[in-house]
Amino acid sequence: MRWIRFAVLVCLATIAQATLSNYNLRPDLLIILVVFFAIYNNTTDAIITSFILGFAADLIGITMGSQMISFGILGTALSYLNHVFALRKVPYQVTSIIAMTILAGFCTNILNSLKHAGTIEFSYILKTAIFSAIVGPFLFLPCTWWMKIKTHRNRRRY
Amino acid sequence: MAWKQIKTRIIGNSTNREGSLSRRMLFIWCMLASVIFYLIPQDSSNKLQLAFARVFHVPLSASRNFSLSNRTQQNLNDTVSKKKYDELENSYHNLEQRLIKLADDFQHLTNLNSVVGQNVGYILGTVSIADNKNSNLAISCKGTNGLRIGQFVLERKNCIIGRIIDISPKMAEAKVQLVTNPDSQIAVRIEGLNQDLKMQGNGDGTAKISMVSREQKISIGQNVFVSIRNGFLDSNMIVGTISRFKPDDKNPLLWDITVKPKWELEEIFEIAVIIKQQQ
Repeated sequence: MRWIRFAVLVCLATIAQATLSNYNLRPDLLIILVVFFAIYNNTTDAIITSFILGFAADLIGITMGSQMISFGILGTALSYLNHVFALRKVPYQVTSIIAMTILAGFCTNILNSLKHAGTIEFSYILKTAIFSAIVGPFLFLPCTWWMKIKTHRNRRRY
Repeated sequence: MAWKQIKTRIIGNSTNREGSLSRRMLFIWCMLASVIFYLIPQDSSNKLQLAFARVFHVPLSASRNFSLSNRTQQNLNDTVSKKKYDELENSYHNLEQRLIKLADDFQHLTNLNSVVGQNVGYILGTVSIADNKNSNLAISCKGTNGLRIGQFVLERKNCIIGRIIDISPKMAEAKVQLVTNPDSQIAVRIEGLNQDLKMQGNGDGTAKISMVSREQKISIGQNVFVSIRNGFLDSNMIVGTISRFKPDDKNPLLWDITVKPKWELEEIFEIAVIIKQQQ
């Protein structure tokens, strides 16, 4: 794992995500990265990246901690799931992004409501999930290039 | 490589156990950090968010301006120039004032309807020139259609002030002879007397009524009404009150009555011309 490159990527994605907050319909770039690192990295790195990306999402979000917990748990779960199913095929990636966005939104809403903070409408989460699923697989290509990850390995990693 | 070395040192030689335990510990530590972030008060966590915004202020503002400019470009057709905006704003304020005036006129007309009757209409106007010396007024109306010589003019307190003696359609103006003008002669009735009398202006802001028998009981403060017999009216309307009365010098059998109008010329700014509608 190239952590400096990862740090640059996270900063760029966070700034881009904060900029996209001006638009009603936008992809969740950080969730896309969580899925990307869960699929293309080993489990240890996936756990760390998920929590860091969750922290980044919290920095531009409503409250601190809620997305860090959601992203961390779901990213770790997806990484373990990647041991069972090879998620490198595009349809699986699309499904993963949709499921991750919806579940993360759901978890974040629960945690935010426990903290009496603002929640996000489900219709908005669904729209974001679909848009992220469309954009996600295309973003995987530049991400693999930037992180210098070999995508042609088809064997499962334990 | 370094990560593997740390894991090996802590856990030992068993690859399977070392990996799973390490991940579990890592996950627990990360979760613990997340829970700490989650539990710290909002004020403290806001500082972190503000720090991020401060550190990345330049790229954030640049990208935000870029996205906003893109969005603004899309809505460019919905905007107007500053010059046009100022013009529209001024028009808006003028229209607002006009609306206030119309609401005021509406209220005035509603009051007039309740006071005068249903068979009369009104033309509202404003006083252009008040000639105190000659007891005349020049009034400006929105239109002179419907104006006739002899029609009575009301002031804002629903009291007759005079009648129209000249109309200038081109200027949309009319001349009003006040009841205090020496040339003004109108039929009036004194409250409580069932008799039409003639009232003539004195030219000093008052008018006088003659030909009232001394047998009639007169008192100061009695109301004087413009009689319906003058035409143009649907009912008698108040013009003033008796301010003084004394025996007539020329004919001691009659009263010499002075009437003071219930209005002050200086206070008249808006008027209404009474138009009796055709039955």
